[in-house]
Amino acid sequence: MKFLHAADLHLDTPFVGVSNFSKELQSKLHDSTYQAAKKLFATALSEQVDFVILAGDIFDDTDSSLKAQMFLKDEFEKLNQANIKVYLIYGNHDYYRNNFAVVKFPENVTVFGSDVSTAELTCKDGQKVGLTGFSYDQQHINQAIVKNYPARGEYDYQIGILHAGVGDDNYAPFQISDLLSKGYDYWALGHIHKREIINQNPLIVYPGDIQGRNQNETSPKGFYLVSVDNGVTDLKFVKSSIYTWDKINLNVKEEETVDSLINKIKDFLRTPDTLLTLTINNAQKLDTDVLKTLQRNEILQHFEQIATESVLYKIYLKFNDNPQLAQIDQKYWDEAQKSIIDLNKIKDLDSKLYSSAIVRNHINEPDFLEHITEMIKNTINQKYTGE
Amino acid sequence: MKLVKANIYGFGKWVDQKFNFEQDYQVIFGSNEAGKTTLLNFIQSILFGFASARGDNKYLQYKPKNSSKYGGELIFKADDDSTWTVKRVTGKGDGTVTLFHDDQQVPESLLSEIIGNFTKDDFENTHVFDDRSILSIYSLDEDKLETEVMSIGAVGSKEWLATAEKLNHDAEDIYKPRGQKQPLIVNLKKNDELLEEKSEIENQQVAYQRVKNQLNQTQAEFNENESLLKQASDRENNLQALDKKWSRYEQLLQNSNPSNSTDQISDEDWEDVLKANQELSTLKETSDSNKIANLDNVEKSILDNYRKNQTRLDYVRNQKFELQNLQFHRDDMNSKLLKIDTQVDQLFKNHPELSERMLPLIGEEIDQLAPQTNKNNLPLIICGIAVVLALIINPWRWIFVAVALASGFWYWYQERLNHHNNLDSYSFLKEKGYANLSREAVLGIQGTVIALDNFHTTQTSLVDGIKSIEVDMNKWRNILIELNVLDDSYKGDNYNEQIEKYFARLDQIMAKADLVEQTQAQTQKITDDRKRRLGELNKAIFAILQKYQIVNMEDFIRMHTSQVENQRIRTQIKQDKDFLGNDLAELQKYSNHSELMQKLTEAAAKRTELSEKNNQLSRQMGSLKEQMQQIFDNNHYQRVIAALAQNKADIIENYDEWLAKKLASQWIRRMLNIATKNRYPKMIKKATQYFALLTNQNYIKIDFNKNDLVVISKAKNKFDVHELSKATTIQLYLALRLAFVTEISDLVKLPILIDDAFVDFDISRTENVFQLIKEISKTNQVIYVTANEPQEIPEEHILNLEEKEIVQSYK
Repeated sequence: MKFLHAADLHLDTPFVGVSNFSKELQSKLHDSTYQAAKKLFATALSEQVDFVILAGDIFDDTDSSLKAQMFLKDEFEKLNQANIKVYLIYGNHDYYRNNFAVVKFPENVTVFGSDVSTAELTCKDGQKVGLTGFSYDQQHINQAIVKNYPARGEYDYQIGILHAGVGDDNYAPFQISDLLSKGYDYWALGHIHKREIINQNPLIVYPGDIQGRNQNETSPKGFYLVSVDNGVTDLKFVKSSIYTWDKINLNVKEEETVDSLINKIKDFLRTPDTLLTLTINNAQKLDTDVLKTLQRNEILQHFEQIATESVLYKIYLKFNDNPQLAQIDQKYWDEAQKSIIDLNKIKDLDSKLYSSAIVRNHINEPDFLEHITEMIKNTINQKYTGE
Repeated sequence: MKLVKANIYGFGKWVDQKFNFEQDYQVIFGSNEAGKTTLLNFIQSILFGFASARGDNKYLQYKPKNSSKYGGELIFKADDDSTWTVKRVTGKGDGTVTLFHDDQQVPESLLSEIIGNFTKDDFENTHVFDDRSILSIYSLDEDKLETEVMSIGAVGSKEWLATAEKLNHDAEDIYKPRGQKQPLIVNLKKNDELLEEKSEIENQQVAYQRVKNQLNQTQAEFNENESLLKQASDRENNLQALDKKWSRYEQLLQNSNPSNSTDQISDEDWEDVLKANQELSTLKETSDSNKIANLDNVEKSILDNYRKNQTRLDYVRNQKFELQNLQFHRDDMNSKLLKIDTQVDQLFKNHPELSERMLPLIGEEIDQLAPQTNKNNLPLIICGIAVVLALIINPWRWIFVAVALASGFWYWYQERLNHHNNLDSYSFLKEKGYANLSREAVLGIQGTVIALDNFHTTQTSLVDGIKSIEVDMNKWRNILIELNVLDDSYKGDNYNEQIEKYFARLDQIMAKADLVEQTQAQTQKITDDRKRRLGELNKAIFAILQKYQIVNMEDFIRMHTSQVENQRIRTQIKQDKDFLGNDLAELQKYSNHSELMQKLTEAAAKRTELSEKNNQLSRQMGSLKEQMQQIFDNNHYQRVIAALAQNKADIIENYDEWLAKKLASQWIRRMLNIATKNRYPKMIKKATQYFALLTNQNYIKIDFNKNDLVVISKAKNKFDVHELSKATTIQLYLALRLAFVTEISDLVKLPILIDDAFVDFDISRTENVFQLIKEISKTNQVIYVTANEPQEIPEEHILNLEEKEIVQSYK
C-alpha cells in the first residue's frame, strides 16, 4: 500500500517583496504553488499510489479559487484515470463556505465534511484502509475536534487526517496524547508549514507546505510518500518546491569594501532556484561609505541587475553591541528595558495603529517581542554608531 | 562651589575692580547704568568664555573702552574650603583660561569641577534669570525639561539624548499620529482602500455560479423562443405563399359561375357556318366589284348623234380628203400670191417710174405710139387650164368653170383695153397712168407694165380662188359644227384632223358599246349563279342556326363566343384549382385579401419580434459566456490579494521599524532617567512646591497636557501657560528653574544670577520671592542685581554699587 501525504498547498499564494524582480521571475514565483502541486500529482501517478491525502489549506484564498479548482479538477481527473483516490479536508485558509465549490471534482475525490467521518477503501494489495477526518467550516475552531474522532475501527490500517496545531486554541487544538489514544496507524496532519514528524510510533506527521511562501519558510518543501508493508510504515520525503527560501549570515570586518562584499555575496548565490535572505553581521564595523551603500539598497539592486543562480531576496544589517554603550552602566539599560519593552505598553503606544488588524495580529504573534527587541537593539547599536 | 570674589582687570565699565560676595545670597543694588548687568556678564564670561566678536553676541564682549586690560578672575570656595581661581584674559577664541586650585595651577580641564558639563548656553538657560530668559518659558515643554535634567545626569547623556531625539524624529518620519505622508500612514490608508476594493469584488465562485445559472436560464429561454420563432416563421411563409396565390384565388372566385348550357354548338356546325358565312360574305363582296363600266353620257350622246346623222357623218368621213385638197389648194394659192407679190415688189424696185396706175397699152395704142404691141395670152391659158380642170375634177368643177370663164373674160377685156389705149396726147395715156412719161418711156416700160398687169391679173385670180375656197371651207365648218364633229370653240381650220379625231373616238365608243353589250350578257350569268349559291348558303346556315333555335348569325356568333368563353373559363378554373391545390381551403378562410394581409402583417410582426428576441437572447448568451470567461480570467482579485499581501508586509515592516525607533528612543531616555536618579520627577515635585509658595498657594500643581506645560489652580482649574498673567508666568518660570538648579545642585553648584527679574511683582510677591531665595540660598548661592533698594534685607547682603565704587575700589 502506498499513498501520498501532502498539506498546505496554498494554491495561488501571492509573494511579497518581489516587485523589483523581473516579471518573469514574479510570474514563476506566483505559479510555483501550482508547479509544486503538479509535482505532487505527477509523483502519485509515477509511484502508482493507492491514494493521496491533502490535509487542508489547499487553497490560499477561497474567495477566488476558480483557477485553482479547475486546476485541481484536471489533476484529480488524471488520478481518476489511474484509479487513484483523493482524500481531502479543508483547513482554516479554505474553510468550507456556501458557493465555494463550483467545480465538481471527479468521483475519485472524497471531501470530508465539517463533522468527523470515516471513509474506507481497499488497496491494490488488499489492505482495508480507514481514513477519518473533517473539514473546517469556519476560520477558527476552538473545540478540540480530535475528541470526536472515533477509536480505531476494523481496518488493516487507519489514518487520521487533521488540520490543526498542537495546543493552538484557534485551530482545533490537540495534544499528541489525544492522537495516540485513538490507536490509529498514521496521523496525516496539516497546518504547520514546517516539516516535522512529531511522533514516531505511530507516525504523526506534518509534511509542511509544498512550496515555501516567504523568507521564513526556508529549506526544500515537499510531501511524504508513505509505504506500508507488513505493518511497517516507511516515510520518504519528496521535494516539490520549485524555489527554496534560504537564510545566510555574513560576518563582516572593518576592512570590507563594496567590491569585497559583492564578491562574498556572489559566492552565496550559486544554488539554483533559491531565494536568499542575507544578514550582514557586525555591520557596525563597516566603513561608513560601505554602510551607506548597503542602506541605500545599492548592493541589492546590483544583484537585481545581474544574473545569478540564486536570487538575492533581501539584505538585513545586524549591528552588534557597541563599546561606547559600556560608558553607561548596563544595569540602567536592563532596568529601562523592563519598562519599555512591554507588550501592553506597545499595544497602548498608539491606538490608531493598534486598531489596524494587521498591526494587532502582528503584535500578538508569539515571537513578536523577541523580534522587536532584537530590532530595537539593532537600531540603538546602529544609531549610536552611524550618526 | 561658592563665588566669593570677583577680580575684574577690565570688563565694560569695570576696570581694576574687586567684589566680594556673600556665600548664600548677595543683593547688588545700583541705579541704571551702574554696571549691574556687566558684573553678571563678567561672571558668565570668565566661567564659559568671552563672547565672540562676531554675530549678535559681539555687544556682550564688554571690552573696556578706557583700559587695555580685558578679563579677570573669579575665586570660588569649595565645600572642602579649598579655593578655585578661574582666570581668563584675552586669547584665542573665547579667551585664555588659567585655573588654580589653592594657588596651584591645575589643568584647564578641571574646570568641570566647577561647571560640570555645562555649556554657556546651559548656564544661561538654567542659572540666569533676566527678561530674556524668562520669555523662554513659553517654549518649555515636558521633553525639554526632562532633557535638560537628563542632559547633565550621566556621562555622555547629551549624545544619548540627541540619539534618542534623532530616533524619535526618524520614527516620526515613518509614522506620526496626525501625519499624512508618512509611509506607515500611507500604507495603512492603502490597506483600507485595498480592503474596500476587495470587498467590492464579488466572490469569484459566486459570480461564476450566478452567471452560469443565468446562462442556463437564458439558454432555456433561447430554445423556447427559437421554437416559437420557427413556428412564427412557418406561419409567415405560409401566409406569404397564400398572398402570392391570392390573385389566382380571386380570379377563381370571379369565374366561379360558368353557364353550363347543354345546347352546345358542335365544332362541325360552327365550322360549317363559319365557312358558309365566309363564302357568303365573299360572294356579296365580289358581286359589287364585277360590274362592267357602261358608256358614259358624253359617249352615249356622241353615239346617239352618230346614229341620228349617220348618213351625213359617213359622207363627211368620205369627203375628208376633199376637204384636205381644198385646204391644200388654198394654201398653194396663198403661196403663189405671196410669190407674185414679191415679183411685183421687184418690179417696182427695178422700175422706179413704174406706178400702179399704169396699164398696158393696147396694140392700137402702141401702134399709135409705136408699132410694137404685146399680146397677153395668159387668161387664155388659165381659161384653158380651168376648162380642162373643170372637166377633170368633179367636186370643184363649177369652180374651175368659173375660173375658165373669168380668165376668158379677163382676156377679152385686155384685148379691148389695148384697143382703147392712147398717148398723152392721146387720152388713153393719161387714163392709163402714163402722165408725164415720154413716149419712149411709155413704150420702154410697156413690157414691165404688161408684166405688172399680168401679175395683177394673177393676183386677182388667186385672191378670188382663195376666197371661193374659204367660202367652201366655211360651209364645211358649219356642217361639221352642226354634226358636232367640230366644237364651236374650235378656231383652227384643220378640219381633216378634227374629223379624224372625232371618228377615232367614235370608233372607240362604238367598239366599247359593242363590248358593253357583250359583257352584260356574261355578267348576268354570273349573277344568277351567285344568287343561287347565296340561296344555298343561306339555307345551310339557317338550317344549322335553326338547330340551335337561333334566328340570326349575330346571335349564333354571340352564342359561340359565349360558349368559347365558358370553355376558357372552365379551363381557367381548372388551372386555378390545380394551382391553388390544398391552399384553396386555406384561402377560403379569408373573406378578403386585406384580411389575409392583416394576418400576414401580424405574423411578420410576430416573427420579427421573436427574431429580435432570439438575437437578443443570443447576444445575452454570448455576453454571459464572455462574462464567465472574464470571471475565470479575472485576476483583479488576485492583484488585490497580491497587493494586500505586499501591503501587509509593508505595514509590518514600517511598524516594526517605527516601533523599534520609537522604543529605542524611549529606552534611551528611560535609561538616562534611571541613570540620572529620577531627578526629573523630583524636580517637578519641587517646582510645584516653589510655585505654590510664590503664588500664596493659588496654584497647587504643575502638570503636562500632551507634553505642554499647564498649571492647576487651587480651584482645580487647569491653565495653559499662555493664559497666565506675566507676573504669574515669571513665578512659574522661577519655580521650575529654581527647582531644577536645586535638584542638580549635587552635580553642579554654580551661583544663580538674577537680573532685576521681579520688577513687575507686587510687594507680596516680592516678599515671597525673597523668602524663596533665602530658602534656596541655603544650598545654592544667589546673586541678585536690582535697581530697587531691597527692604528687610540684612545690611551685609546688600552691595550698593554707588557706595562700593568709593568704598571698595581696587587700590
